[in-house]
Amino acid sequence: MFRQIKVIYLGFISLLIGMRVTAQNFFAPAVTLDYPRKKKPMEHNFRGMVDLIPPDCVICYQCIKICPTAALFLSHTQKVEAEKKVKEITKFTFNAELCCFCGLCDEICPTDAIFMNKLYEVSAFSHDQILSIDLMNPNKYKHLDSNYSLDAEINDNKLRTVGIAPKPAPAAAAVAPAAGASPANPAAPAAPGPTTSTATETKPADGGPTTNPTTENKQPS
Amino acid sequence: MMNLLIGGISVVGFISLSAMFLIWLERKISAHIQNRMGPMICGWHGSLQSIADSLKLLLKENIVPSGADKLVWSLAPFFVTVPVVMAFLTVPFSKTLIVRDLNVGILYVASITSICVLGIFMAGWGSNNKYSLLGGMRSAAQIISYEVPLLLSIVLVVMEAGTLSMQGIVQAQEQGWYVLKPNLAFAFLIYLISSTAEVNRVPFDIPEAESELGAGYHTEYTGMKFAMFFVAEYTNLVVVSAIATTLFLGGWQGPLLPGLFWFLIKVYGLVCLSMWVRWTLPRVRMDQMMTFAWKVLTPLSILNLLVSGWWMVR
Ligand code: SF4
Ligand code: SF4
Repeated sequence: MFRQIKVIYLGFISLLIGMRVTAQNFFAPAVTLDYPRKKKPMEHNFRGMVDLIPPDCVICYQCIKICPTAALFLSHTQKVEAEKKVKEITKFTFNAELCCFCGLCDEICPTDAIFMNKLYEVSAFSHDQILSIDLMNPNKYKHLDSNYSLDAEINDNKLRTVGIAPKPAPAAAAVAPAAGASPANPAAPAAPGPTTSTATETKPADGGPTTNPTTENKQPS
Repeated sequence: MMNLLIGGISVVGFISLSAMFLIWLERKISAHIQNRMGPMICGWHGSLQSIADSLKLLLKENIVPSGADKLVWSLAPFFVTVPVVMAFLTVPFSKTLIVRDLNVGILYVASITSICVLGIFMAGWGSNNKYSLLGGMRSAAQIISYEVPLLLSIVLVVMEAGTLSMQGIVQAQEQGWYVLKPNLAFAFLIYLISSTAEVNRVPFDIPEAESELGAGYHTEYTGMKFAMFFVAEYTNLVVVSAIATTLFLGGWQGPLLPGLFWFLIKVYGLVCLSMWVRWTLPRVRMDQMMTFAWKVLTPLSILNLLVSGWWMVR
């Protein structure tokens, strides 16, 4: 009898505790998004579809060689213009079905012409819409996402991309010595070149933040 | 006669609107409790979602299971829906807004709402489906068990007010709501628990336990018949909240605002409380539930009745 009363009392108390928890969650902000209408920007190291800035490409075929799945195709012609040899791309296509989104083409490109954008809604209506995507076309992904814009993706890639920390980090590093924080000051002039402290990829403290990390951080051994 | 017709039609209109609103409200409240957004596409914050859903249900095909007992199966939704609509006839929305103030009002409501269990059992039996049958049996056992403490707590109010008429009970609370008296507050608690079981809601939703029985007695229903079960479920919720408001919370009485507003505020407040509990608690087991009804709630309400009766005649 006494045990039953205790059980009922405890049940009532636990009901109140549970109701407090649900009430707190009721007023907490939602963790999901109103998805098709509101979208979250992707993380800076997100690897979406392969994209290209055509004028920057120097036709070195590095990306074609490194691609493990042969998803990229490139061909070019040579012309003579004013006594100079000029190369011109005739076909540069990307097969999204073969691509494994490894990001190697992005890393190897010497001029950062080929990069991975932040596109993640990549379903197409028909199979052959993704088999041979013309990378020279500025509207190449319009059929996947009507809001796609090459300029916005290029800009986004400059600001935040694989291996480069988001923009605010270098700004903070530039402000810190100017503000004259005493513990940071002795360290700053004593490090003229790339030292071990700046060797990690994600901290471009004194290198330009827009250059490719693979070519920049050559460690003195 | 004309009066009764107008009253009946407006009650039906009120019920359909309120069921639609409550379905939307429940989806929103559950979503926010689980840190989701809930329906957002139709109208402002998905407020037209229920209309879209009912349009969809209207257009759906009516599938009759091959082994079903056709007559019983197709009559069941009416047996569930009609009594809850009829229960509204004696609910006082305000001082004058009541379809018919019977002098046995509360008795009428209590007896007419217990017809629902017949409809639920008919649905379970007629579907020729083991899950439906289990749901129907569980529902019959549960509703009949919880009817006892429910009625015993109502009897206490009748003893206090000295009348069975719903308007009379509201008027008897002019000096103060019944819920403010200790013995009636206890009866109110018992009423809330047993009414949750009466309307098959979590934590007492074992007749339609989705994870064990599919959907229990309405597994085999489609289209409009399913919609009738759904409407009946939410209207039942409004009915028990309206009775609780009338019996314990002073009905339509309240300062400043007109009576109808006070009544609706109290009713929907109780409904929100029930939704809050629903999205907090898990489901209880069948044996726990029956033990709770017969070994805890019934003795407690009889004890409450005896003590208050002794106090009154002392
Ligand atoms: S991401 Fe990898 S697989 Fe895809 S195109 Fe670039 S190198 Fe090839
Ligand atoms: S690696 Fe870069 S520059 Fe070289 S061919 Fe590929 S896209 Fe052009």
